[in-house]
Amino acid sequence: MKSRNKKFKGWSVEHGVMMGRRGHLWRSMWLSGPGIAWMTLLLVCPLAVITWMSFMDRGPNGEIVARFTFDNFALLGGKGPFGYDPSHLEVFVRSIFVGGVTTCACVLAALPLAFFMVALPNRLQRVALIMIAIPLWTNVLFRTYAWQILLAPDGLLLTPFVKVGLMEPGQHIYPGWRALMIGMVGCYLPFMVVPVYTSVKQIDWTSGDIARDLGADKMTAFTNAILPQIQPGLMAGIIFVFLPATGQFVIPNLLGGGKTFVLGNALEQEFVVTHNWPLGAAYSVFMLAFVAAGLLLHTRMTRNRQEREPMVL
Amino acid sequence: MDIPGLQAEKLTRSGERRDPFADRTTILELRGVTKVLGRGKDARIAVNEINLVAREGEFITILGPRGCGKTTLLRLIAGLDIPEPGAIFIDKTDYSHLPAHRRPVNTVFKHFGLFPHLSVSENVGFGLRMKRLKSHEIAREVMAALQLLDLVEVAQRKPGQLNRGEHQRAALARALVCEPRVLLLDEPMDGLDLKLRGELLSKLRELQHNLTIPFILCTEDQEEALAVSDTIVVMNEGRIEQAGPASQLYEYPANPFVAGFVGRCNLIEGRFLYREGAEVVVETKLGKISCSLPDTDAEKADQNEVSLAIRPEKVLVNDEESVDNRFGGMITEVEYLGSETRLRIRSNEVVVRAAVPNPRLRLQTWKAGDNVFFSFPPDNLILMDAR
Amino acid sequence: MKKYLAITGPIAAGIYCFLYLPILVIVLNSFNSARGEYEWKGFDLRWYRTLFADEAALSALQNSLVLATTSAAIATVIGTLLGYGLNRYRFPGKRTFNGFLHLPAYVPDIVLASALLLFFTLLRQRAGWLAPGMTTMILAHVTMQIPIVAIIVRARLEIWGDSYEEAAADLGASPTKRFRMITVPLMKPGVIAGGLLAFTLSLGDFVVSLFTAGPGSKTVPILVYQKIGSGHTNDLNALSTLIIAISALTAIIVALIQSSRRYQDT
Repeated sequence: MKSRNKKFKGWSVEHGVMMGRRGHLWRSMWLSGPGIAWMTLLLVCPLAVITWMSFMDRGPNGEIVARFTFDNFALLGGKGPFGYDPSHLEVFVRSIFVGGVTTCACVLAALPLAFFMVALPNRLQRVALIMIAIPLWTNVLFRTYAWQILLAPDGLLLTPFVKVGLMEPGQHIYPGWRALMIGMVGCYLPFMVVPVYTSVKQIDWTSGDIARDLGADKMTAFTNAILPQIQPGLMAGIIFVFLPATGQFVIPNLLGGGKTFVLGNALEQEFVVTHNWPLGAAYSVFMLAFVAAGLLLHTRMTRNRQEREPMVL
Repeated sequence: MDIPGLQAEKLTRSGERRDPFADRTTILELRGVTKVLGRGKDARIAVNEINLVAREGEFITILGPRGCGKTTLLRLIAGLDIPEPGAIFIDKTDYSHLPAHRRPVNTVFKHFGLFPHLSVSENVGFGLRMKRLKSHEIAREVMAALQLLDLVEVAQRKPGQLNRGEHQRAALARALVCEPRVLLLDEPMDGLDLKLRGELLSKLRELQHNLTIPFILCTEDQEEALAVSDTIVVMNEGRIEQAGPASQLYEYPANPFVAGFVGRCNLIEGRFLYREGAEVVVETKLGKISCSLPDTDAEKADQNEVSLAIRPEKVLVNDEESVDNRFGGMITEVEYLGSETRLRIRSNEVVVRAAVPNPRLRLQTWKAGDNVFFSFPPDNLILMDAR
Repeated sequence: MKKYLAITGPIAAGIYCFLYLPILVIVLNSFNSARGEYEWKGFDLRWYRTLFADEAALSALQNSLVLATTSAAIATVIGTLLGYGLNRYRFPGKRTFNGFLHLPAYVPDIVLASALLLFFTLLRQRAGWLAPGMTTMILAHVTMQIPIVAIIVRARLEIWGDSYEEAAADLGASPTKRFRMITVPLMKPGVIAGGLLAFTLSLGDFVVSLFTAGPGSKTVPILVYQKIGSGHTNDLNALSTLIIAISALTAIIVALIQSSRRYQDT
């Protein structure tokens, strides 16, 4: 009896199968193994390689020299070969600005839309959600290129403004900041709407009533009882929009024109045009660190709450 | 081995052991079953050295508060967890380390667990398919089970299209059709309304009369337990506090926990003073209370700190005839409940609850603020260790 | 809530217009008989006729579909196994791996694209492996798709925990039978949804394709990108419309599967 118990020490029955540590390892190897191997080889390794590359030096002819250096990061920080050069720093500031404005605009648009969707009958809610999913899965390039057509000086969208007199004939907003922002919001709005909608749908509206019953006025009841309940979805949406938006390159490239040179463009430039790989890698590493910091902050803030991660898919 | 249920039997004043299952065959036996859940810091003993016997045709209810380990105990019997250490015997065979699918035990789960992708009749036939029965046999047995539980009309529906009552009956049919040696029911009434509870309870009792297997039901609801079971097992923090027939648990609770969990009870703490034959005198805040004790339980009285328990309906209020343990007090609360009136009487910082029957054609005469006297008949006081 | 419909309704209508305007422009222009995109001159299928005569466009379409199908098939197999394995079994370092699994959803795609470009180039220079082309594109796309499939399958498994398998075990089903009769049917909608999403993700991708493509493996987005500057793109509108239609169709199917009540927990 005793010896038998010893054999099963540390074992547990999970999903109806009795198993010990080795059973878990063995099954993990066959099931998760291929996925882990693939992700290690094609996600972790490339990211490691790019991190390594960011510390490499370049020879006189632009070839990569395997010599450890911090020069690339120093260059990003403003220490150019001829003294202080803020051009790379400006790229960061501009990117974060673009990402931030896009996120704010998406929040402002997603909130009323989510409240509208929740007020619909169930069947229509599903249709409304599918209507959000379709643009989400449509190629960004096509949508961006369509905005080029729409925002052209004599295009569909600007003609009414010209007729009313808000704009002068021939004046154009593309390429430029305004076109860039329109394209960005159009691209990222669905990513905000889905998590915010999920949160709004789960709101316990009675808590608002209770708050009002306890003497809160309409506004206080909303900000103190309803808004905190949307917070998880809002946070998820912000993370989902802000992090990728700072690294967007198709939209700034096609709609922004030369003045909106952001991180994405810089990366493309270094990798495809000038072939300064170490510098491009430094840009990537910076962006990775930025994303990691954002994600860590997000998990920190949501750790105490036991909530399922909002599914944007 | 110290089985709490036996202690309670010693207390039975009539002296006779009323165990109608004493001569029945033992089907399920648990010996020292223990289970630790969680790892490292979170580890806690969910089930602590449980000994339990279930005999032919016995309806056992495991009663206990949430988190007392009753669900874990059922999972151990079903084979969904393994005891470490401990042994589980079914029909004298050791099943301790056999997985669930090789045990002749079936369970009605808390949330029923009907497979959402199969229809009701496919769900009910699932266990028989696993036993490799021929399809016409399966069809026959399933039909019989569906008829037994009034499910014929919904046989082709998916679980998503059933109401709660049908859901629950389907889960019961699915377990019963396998002809288990032991049927486990894990809080099957949880979240059901009163009407459905009543229906299921009477159905269970009816089924149990016709079958010879033991049923083990898990519940938090004492009324449910008192209504259907032959034996009630009160569990708390992984241990059995007391086991016995409903009447025994109610009349002779073994300890303050059982006294408080099964029915309502007054608990008066005090200090043992002296003992004269079968009479024990205890010093309490109310004053000296004497209580008669069966000879068999003499050693209990040697404890210094003791508790006295008495059910509210056993407390006599303004009863001229009683002379023992008589105290004065003031009514602080009156609840009129039709068949009885519940009183709270405060006396010397102690609040005593009393339930007085309302005889016919007598108007309620109790008022808050009245001064009354009350007495505890020595026969109805139960002496137990203070905990 | 309903009382606010008067305010939120028009805003919502505006937002939907804003989201669909670009898609509508492409679709309408693909049927526009006018040359150039700025005016409507009547319904015409001529751009579709030109498209089917255009070797380059057809090969791009073929490349896009081959890439999406192949990568989605590989990712569905690996991702399903991974999602199931992660849900069920423990291994050291699981938490760290989970972090990496979620990374591709948040990292700007250009970072992933440049990392893969660098990685593939180094492999080719040092070892002579993997010339840029369909193979590298498939490898890159599968890397993006595996997390999606795995996360969806795992979420599906998490919804019902192990309660159904325990019930089956209790009814006498051996582990193999349990897997075949309970786990697989319940997991199926998740697998289909995950696979279809992987397919749409591949069709919707542009940046990673651009960075990993070779001369012979131009996909539709790459072709469109290269021709944007060159003026008349009506036939590209037709090509884009086809891709948009396929994406939208799969997105709708996925949404219907995910919200179907048939398999939902009761």
